[in-house]
Amino acid sequence: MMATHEERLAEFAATFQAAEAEIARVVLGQEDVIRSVLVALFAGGHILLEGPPGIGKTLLARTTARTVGVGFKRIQFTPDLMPSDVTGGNVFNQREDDFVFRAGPIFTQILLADEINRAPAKTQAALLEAMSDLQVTVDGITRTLPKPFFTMATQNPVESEGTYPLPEAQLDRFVMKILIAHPDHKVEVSLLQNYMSGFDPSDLDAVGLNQVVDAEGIARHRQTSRGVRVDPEILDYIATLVGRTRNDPAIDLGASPRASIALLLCSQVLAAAEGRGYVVPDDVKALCRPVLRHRFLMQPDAELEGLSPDDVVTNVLMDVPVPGGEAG
Amino acid sequence: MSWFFWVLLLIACGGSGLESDALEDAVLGAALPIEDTTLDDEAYRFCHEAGYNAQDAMRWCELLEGMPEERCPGLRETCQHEGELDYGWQESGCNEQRGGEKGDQFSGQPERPDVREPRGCDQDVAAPEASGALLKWVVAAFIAAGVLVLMRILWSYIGLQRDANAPVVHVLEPATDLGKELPDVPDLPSKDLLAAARAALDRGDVGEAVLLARGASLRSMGEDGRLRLHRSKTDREYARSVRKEADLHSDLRQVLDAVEVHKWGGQLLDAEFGKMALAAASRILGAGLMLVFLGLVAPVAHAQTRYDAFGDAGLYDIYDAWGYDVTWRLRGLENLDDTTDVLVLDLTFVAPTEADWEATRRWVNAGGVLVVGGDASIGFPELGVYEDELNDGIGWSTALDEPFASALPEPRWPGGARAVWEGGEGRTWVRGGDTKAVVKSVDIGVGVVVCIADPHLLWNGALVDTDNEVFLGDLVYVGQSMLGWPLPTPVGLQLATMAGTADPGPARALANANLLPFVLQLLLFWTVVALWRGYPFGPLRDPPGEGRLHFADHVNALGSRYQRLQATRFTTSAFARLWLARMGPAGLQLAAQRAGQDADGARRFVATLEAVAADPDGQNQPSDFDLMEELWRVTRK
Repeated sequence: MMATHEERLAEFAATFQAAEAEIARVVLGQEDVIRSVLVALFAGGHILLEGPPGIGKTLLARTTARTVGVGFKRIQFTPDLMPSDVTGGNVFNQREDDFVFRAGPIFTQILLADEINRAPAKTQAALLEAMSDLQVTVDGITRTLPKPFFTMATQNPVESEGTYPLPEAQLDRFVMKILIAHPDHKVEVSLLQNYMSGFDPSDLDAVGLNQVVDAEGIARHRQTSRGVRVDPEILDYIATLVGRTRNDPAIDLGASPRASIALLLCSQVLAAAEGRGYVVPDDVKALCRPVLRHRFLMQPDAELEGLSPDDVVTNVLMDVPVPGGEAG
Repeated sequence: MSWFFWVLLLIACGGSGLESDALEDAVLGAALPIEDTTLDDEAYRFCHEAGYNAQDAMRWCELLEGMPEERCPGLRETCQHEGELDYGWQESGCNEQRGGEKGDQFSGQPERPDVREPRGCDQDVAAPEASGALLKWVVAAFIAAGVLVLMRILWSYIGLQRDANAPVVHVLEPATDLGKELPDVPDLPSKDLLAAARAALDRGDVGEAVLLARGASLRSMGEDGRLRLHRSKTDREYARSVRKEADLHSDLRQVLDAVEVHKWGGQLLDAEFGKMALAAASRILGAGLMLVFLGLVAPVAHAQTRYDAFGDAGLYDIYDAWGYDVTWRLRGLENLDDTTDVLVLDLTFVAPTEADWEATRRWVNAGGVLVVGGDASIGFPELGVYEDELNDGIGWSTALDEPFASALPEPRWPGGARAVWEGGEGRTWVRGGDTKAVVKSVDIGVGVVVCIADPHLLWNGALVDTDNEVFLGDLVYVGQSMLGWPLPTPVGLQLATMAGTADPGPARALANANLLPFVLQLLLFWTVVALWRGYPFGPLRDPPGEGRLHFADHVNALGSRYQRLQATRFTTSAFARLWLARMGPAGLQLAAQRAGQDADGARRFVATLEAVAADPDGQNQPSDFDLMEELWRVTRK
């Protein structure tokens, strides 16, 4: 018997919240980040994590992979990393007297592209096709990546020397850019207490993490979230928000329609995660900053004035009236 | 004991060579029988009227032991009837634990069991749960209701005048230049929107009903200042902004959830859902009205308790009589400065904020003397006074520690479990039991904090015992003279007790400033003036004076023209008819008298006018001009 949409929504919400809880057992004090990661995963996007080293980005990726029961690989991006180191390549097999394809680390389901901005542009570009089309072409042969394919790229905001800033085309392919900050004092104490209790980040088996969903489940839940109702006024709101970035005097180049689509899909996932069958303006507002902050180019004078992309998004949110009006 | 110390001190000071008035007062207060005590003032009715607020007053009965017979006759009688109190008075758990000791009426009920008062029940002293307090609330409520009704009449009148010049319904303009239209919700006052929502619900349009209810709720809260409306805010953000007020939050969520399901979920709502949302919206609008209402009522009821057994008026009277420059603290503690030398703070009724504590800490550090009373179970950590608390109340007895035993009378608290401190730093003034402190002082920076573990000592009831009165009055002086507290002369002493502190709410702030009676009287005065002027009954019918003057000039000119046309009788007749119709014969007669004619002359004048008015076709006479001119003169003003 086919489950109703409400039942599927309830199942999705339960799964999402269980995944959140499981990951939060290991990654302390980053509830918002965890939620954003899961929203991006279920929306079928990729995320760019920006934060200082040592705050648990790798742990987050590994824990997420463990919780959703999919494969995980990590690539440490360095200036001498070649595209073939990412995608893999054909090597000659003397026994078979033929070239055989040796898959690179990109053939996984959750990929941690650590310090992605340390690799040169051509290596970064090796990810482009994988991220947008979920496939890799090597020597003219296209190979499909396993599903779901979810890239978690990280970059360090402070060490800019010897880095290659991601081109706009690549940035636009990340559905969200998530900023991670250092934990506060209380969280840090809890973290230390965890270590005192024997927690070992390299041995997640010992933590007893529960797998709450599998690859098939993720695909099913993605379908469910796509069925969440979006009122035409909400669509108008999303388009207005993104459109406003193209007219803002502080912005040189506004966000693309891909931003609108990302905002829509993520809003649907966020609504479904709460068991709601419809999107409310709060969903859109909550996602605006992570979805938009990396998708536009700021005017140099605005940057000189100290405006950050988040400030600009905040201004946009303040300017655009929420559907429904103030009190009417 | 204490008088002996003061006699020695007198000798040491050279007989009559006292150094200050405060010292003299202190000496006389401690050593001689007090003839005029604070509670002699008839305003302290619990002390003078038998049975008055008996439930509160009786807690102080045991302090009457050892006091002169004439001391607090009313309370004494109340205490003698203690066993006859109504036992049916059981509302709260505390009262039940007290064995039903409460009640204002002597109703001849069985004897009260001797149940020790549990700790924690003291804090409800200001609750208006007894009939006496209830009566005050009822009276205050009636006063406030009267004022509210009068304000409502005035407001309706003003509203009618405003509405007469403006269209009643107009649609909200787009909020921005985006050209995006907002939903078509009429720009009506919130109560009218709610009425429109009810009408929509009656029509069966639940969706429109909940949308209108949302508009009514948000606008009402916006008008009351409970919410700040902005075009970029979502409904959930509005709800989150009031989440500290549980009831309001719950009601608002109920309305907004209904809107959410309907508007964004695209679902049809059943009538029951709509009714619940409208009921919630009604409560929100009602709460706005109640907010104003309670803002007026609460301070009135509160102000009446200041002379009760748990009031704080006694403190003011003591320090005033002892020669201190005493004032109520009417502002927040965060503005404490060197104009205040001593601050008496009762934590039972005043709840300082974190900023208040921080400012108080700074002020004490700089040399202020803080006398703080309140629940001692956690010490006063905000001030850096940490103590272990031990509270059993068994074997409760107090004794002054040396050297204060010779300088101060021994204070007494009423029975029951009392908080005490064991251990810790600081100088113990009064012990409760062998090693535990009930009053102690702790030096902080240049200043000092005097901690009183149980605030009963600061309330009017404690002054039944004159030793308590002297103890409180002498406390600061003894600290100053024996411990070298750095205080100037005269000492500026402020009371932050029931007088409370400043408040962002206008009604409350007015009450704190003791301005509420003035405002109420002003409102009543305005109401009387408005009634006298007839504003509530509609605009005056007569045209204004200037218009009348123009009209008279016009008629005069017209008469001159008729004169030239040889039609003076017709004109005079018409003029006379006009004024007879407008003012009547009696009115014209009065007007003529006011214009200078005597009574007979005025009567004849009116009779002539009536004759002329009845005969417009008569022959023209030169006297017509005189009559017309006189009529013009009489009616001119």
